[in-house]
This record gives sequence, C-alpha cells and structure tokens, in this order.
Amino acid sequence: MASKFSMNKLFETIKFRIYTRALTSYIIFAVLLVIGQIISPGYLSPSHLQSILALAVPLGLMTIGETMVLLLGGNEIDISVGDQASCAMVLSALLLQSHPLWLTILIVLAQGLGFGALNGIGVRYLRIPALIMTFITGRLLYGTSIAITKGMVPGIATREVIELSSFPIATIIWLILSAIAILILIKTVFGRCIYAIGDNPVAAHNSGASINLISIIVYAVSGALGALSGLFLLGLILIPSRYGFASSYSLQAVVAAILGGVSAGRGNYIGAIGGVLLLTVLNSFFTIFNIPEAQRMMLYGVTLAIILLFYGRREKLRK
Amino acid sequence: MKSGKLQLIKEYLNLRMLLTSISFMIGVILLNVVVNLKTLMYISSITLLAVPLAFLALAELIVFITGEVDMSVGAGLTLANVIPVYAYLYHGIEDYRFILLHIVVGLSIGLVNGTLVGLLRINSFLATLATSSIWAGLSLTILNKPEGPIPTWYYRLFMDGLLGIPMVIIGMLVAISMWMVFRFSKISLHFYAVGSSSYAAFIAGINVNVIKFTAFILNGLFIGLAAIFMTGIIASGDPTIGLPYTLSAILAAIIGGARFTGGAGDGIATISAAVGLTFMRNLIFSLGVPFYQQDLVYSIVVLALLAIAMYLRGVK
Repeated sequence: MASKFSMNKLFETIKFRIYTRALTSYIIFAVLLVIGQIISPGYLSPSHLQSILALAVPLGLMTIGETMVLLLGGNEIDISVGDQASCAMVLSALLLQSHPLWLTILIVLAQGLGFGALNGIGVRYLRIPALIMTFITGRLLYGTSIAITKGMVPGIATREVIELSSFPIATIIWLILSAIAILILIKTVFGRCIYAIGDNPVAAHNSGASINLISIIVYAVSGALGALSGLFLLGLILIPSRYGFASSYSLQAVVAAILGGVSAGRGNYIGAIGGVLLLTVLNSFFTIFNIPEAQRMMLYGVTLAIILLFYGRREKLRK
Repeated sequence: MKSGKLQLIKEYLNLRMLLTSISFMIGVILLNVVVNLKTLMYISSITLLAVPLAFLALAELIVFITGEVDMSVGAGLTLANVIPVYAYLYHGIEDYRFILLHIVVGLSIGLVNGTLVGLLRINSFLATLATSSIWAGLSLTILNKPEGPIPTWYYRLFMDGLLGIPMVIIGMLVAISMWMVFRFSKISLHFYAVGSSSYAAFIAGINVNVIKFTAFILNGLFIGLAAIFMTGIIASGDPTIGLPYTLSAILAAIIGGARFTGGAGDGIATISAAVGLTFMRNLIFSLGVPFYQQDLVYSIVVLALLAIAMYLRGVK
C-alpha cells in the first residue's frame, strides 16, 4: 500500500515537472508578446498576430513530427526536417510551373514519406545513430534539390500556394493536423505504443509492439510533415532564393519540442505548440532588430546548449 | 620489458581492421587509375587534399573511442580556418603566430565541447549539434564570404614543400606519428576502457569525465592541425568550407574500425580510409558526373559505404 502511494506521488511529480516545462514556454511566449508591444507598437494588433500565426505554421508542422520522433526516446531525433522542407520548396516551385497544386502536394508528400522511411530503415535496421542517419538524409535531400534543378533555382510561388500559406487557411490546416496528432498520440494504440517505446523499449517489445515498424512510420510521418511545411514556406517567402534555405529549421524544431516538455515517452504536442509560438515570436524579434542569419544560428546553438544543460544530462556514475 | 612491448604491439594491431581499410584505399585508387590513367600524375596532390580529412577523421576517432560523437568537426574546421585568416587580413598576425592561431582555435573548440560533454555530462550528439551551429554562425559572422590572400610564404610552403620535403609527406607523417604516440601511451588504454564500459572503467578507478574531456581536447588539437593544412591548400579563409567534412570524417572513422558504441577503432586504418574517401570524391569527378549531381552522388556513396560497414559488423 505504502509503495503504491509513493509510486503515485512520484508519477505526479514527473507529470507536474513536465507540465511546468510546457507552461513555462507559454508564459515566456506571453511575456515576449508584451515586450514586442513595448519595443514596436502595433505588435499586438490583430493583423500582426494573424501574420505570426501564419509564420508559425511551417515550424509547427515540423515540430509535430519532431515531437513523435523524440517521444520514441533512445537518442532518436530527426534533423532532416529542415532539409525536407528546403528540398520540398525547390521541388514544388519547379512543379507548380506546369502542374496543379493537388498533384504538387502529393509529390511533395511522397518525397517526405520516402526519405523519412529511409531514415527509419537506416536507424532501425542498419543501427546507424539517428542523428547521423538523418544528417546523411539531409545531405541527400540537398543533393537531390540541386540535381533536379540542375543548379539553377527555379520558379516562383503561385497565387494558390500564397493563399494556402497565409492566415486563415494555413492556421486552420495546422490546427486540424495538430488535433489529429494529439488524438493519435493520446487515444490510439499506435500513439500509446510510441509512448511505451519511449518509456521502456524492452517492455514495449515484450508486450507485442513492433518497434521497427512503429519507428519507421514515425520517421516517415515526420518526413512528410517536414516536406509539407516546405510548401507553406514557399508560399511565405515566394522565391526559393537558395538551396538549403530552411535547413536551420531542423534545430528550431528540436528546440521547440524540448522546450514544450517533450522527452523519451513524456510530454505531448500541446506543450510543443508553446515552444513553436515562442520561437516564432523570437524569430520576429530577430527580424525587427535586423539580426543576420549567421548570428541567429549562433543564438539557436547557444539556446539549445542552455536547454540541454537543464534537460539533457547523463546520469552520474557515482550513485 | 621488451617482450611486454611486443605483446602490446601484437594486441594493438588489429590486422583485420587495418587490412579492410587499406584494401578499401588501394581499391579506390586503382579504380581511379582505371577510369583515368592521368590520375597517376596527380596522386600526390590528391593525397594532399586528404591530409585535412585525415586529421579530422582522427579527431572524430578519438571521440568515438570514448563512446561519444562529435557532429561539429566540419564547423570546427571552418572556424579554425576563418579566424587565423581574419587575424592576418585585419590585424596583421603573421609568422609562427599565424600557424599557432589555428591550434589555439582548435584547442578552444575542444575545450568548449569537452566542458559540455565531459564535465557537464550533456549528451554529446546534441551538445555538438548545438556547438556546430554556433561555430558555423560565428564563422559566417567573422567572414561572410571567402577572403584572402594568406601570407605568401605560407602558400609557397604548400607548393614547394618544407626544406624540399612535400607537405603531403609531412602531413601524413605527423598524423601517423601522433596516432602512434597516443596509441602506445598508457592513457589510450583508459580511452578504450571508458568507451567499452564507462561504468566498469569508473569502478576500476578511471575518472570517466576527465577522460572524455581529454578526448575532446585532443579532438580540438587535431581539428587545429586539419585547419593548418586546409588554409594552406585553399590559400584563403572560407566560411563554408567545412560543411561536407563532418560526414566524411565520421565515415572514415567508422571504416577505420570505430563503433558508435565506443571502445574500438584504429588511427592508421582511419587515415587510409580518409585517403580512400578523398579518391572516391575524385573518382566521381573523373567519371564525368555533372557538377549539379556530384553532391547527390557523393551522399549516396557515403550512405552506401556506411550501410555496408554497419551491415558487416552489425551481425554480431
């Protein structure tokens, strides 16, 4: 009786810590909004808030996949989502010149699913660490985007894509996909298996969950969402000005998910949305202060290192 | 005493590892020659291109041995190339200080990574991913485009050689002898022990955190040496030069017998794998692959080689 009580208490503490982490990112988001209003009046105007909600969509979609991958635990991570988006941007800009939007979306999703499944196969069957495997896939996607365009960045966003990726439509799509993802994670057997694998892979395997199959599906979904977000990015920036445009998003997606309280078998996408919103506002600050891309990269790196200091340390050997 | 040393040498030389790697190198060089006979004339200059990669692969290997990973070697190489060139162009740092600065930057990189991974116990994958982003951003902030020139005597050195000895021979000798010194010193045993089982090593009285920290300091030293050769070869400071090198360095270390789980790997095998990979890049060029497909083809080759390496040893 006593032990059960203490186990419950322990579980409550863990849950509490994760909710505080997720809550922290929402609180920082709110504080940043207020700071934004102070440094640049009009920051909280409805039209600007709408544009922030549209700008958050690509990162939001990538973070759905990243959340699922990180939930699997055991060093699983997907740093190819940004490269998926970069490749999808170039690919869709090329395709939209002669093909309808629905076909472009299908081809882009196929790209994401294919390379994502490749990630999963490399990680599960070849036992290549996820970070290195997804890094290689990122280079493959970079090479693919150069190869299919023969070294010249093609095309421009069409009106349809711009409409798709601006305020009401993009945000609604994001909300629907988020709701689906959250429901799948909480309510379905597949979702519970993801948590189980993250919590204890051996126990999950023994209770009949196919770790390989589930991981490959998760990586494929993550890739597809990464590629889809490339289409939305194309609508936002209109011209894919260079290869690897979105590669810095990989790190942001990881940071957003960890900030939202996601770790092996713990946390969910509701928290990660807080991380996404926080990073989007932070990005808008960088734009207000005209901070160049290079220094943003440094800031993301420093942010990740600081977060890891709190959430990502090895256990002490001396018990 | 003498027989003890002999025993050590026998134990150290994992012949299978070495043979695989060396036959990979010779195979690729032969393929090059078959495709294009003129390659024979350029063997020494292509091998010179392999020297920075060889040092980077050693940097990666040393960290792999202790069971950690460094995803920032490429970005580190860039930073250690950019800062000295910037210092020369805008602050007139010359002479031996110019060369020394490469090493200083390399060691500082190792110090930061080592503190994060070794002393603060952060997961090395994520920590070096973070620092990789920092080094890349810092390099682009210091020089936002490739700039030159470097001191005249310095790039002359790489054309004419030092005292008549070509730099490629000096580079390879330095790499091999540094590995040998490391391998036959007592501390290397601690590295392998920590990589095989950090808990067992801890029980045996080895300070695991300090060993991992030291591994990253050595890693920084090798990155600095790689940058010294890189600067001489490209004769400029290029803020994007290192990007493709991370993957090649990891692959070279893996072909050289390293495992992602730690506790294995050989330097000589790694160096020959690095040479092999450089010739592989040249092979793709010689085969007439269009420039816009070279990145893709090289990435596919890297993935295939890594898959083969993992498959061959994954059975166990």
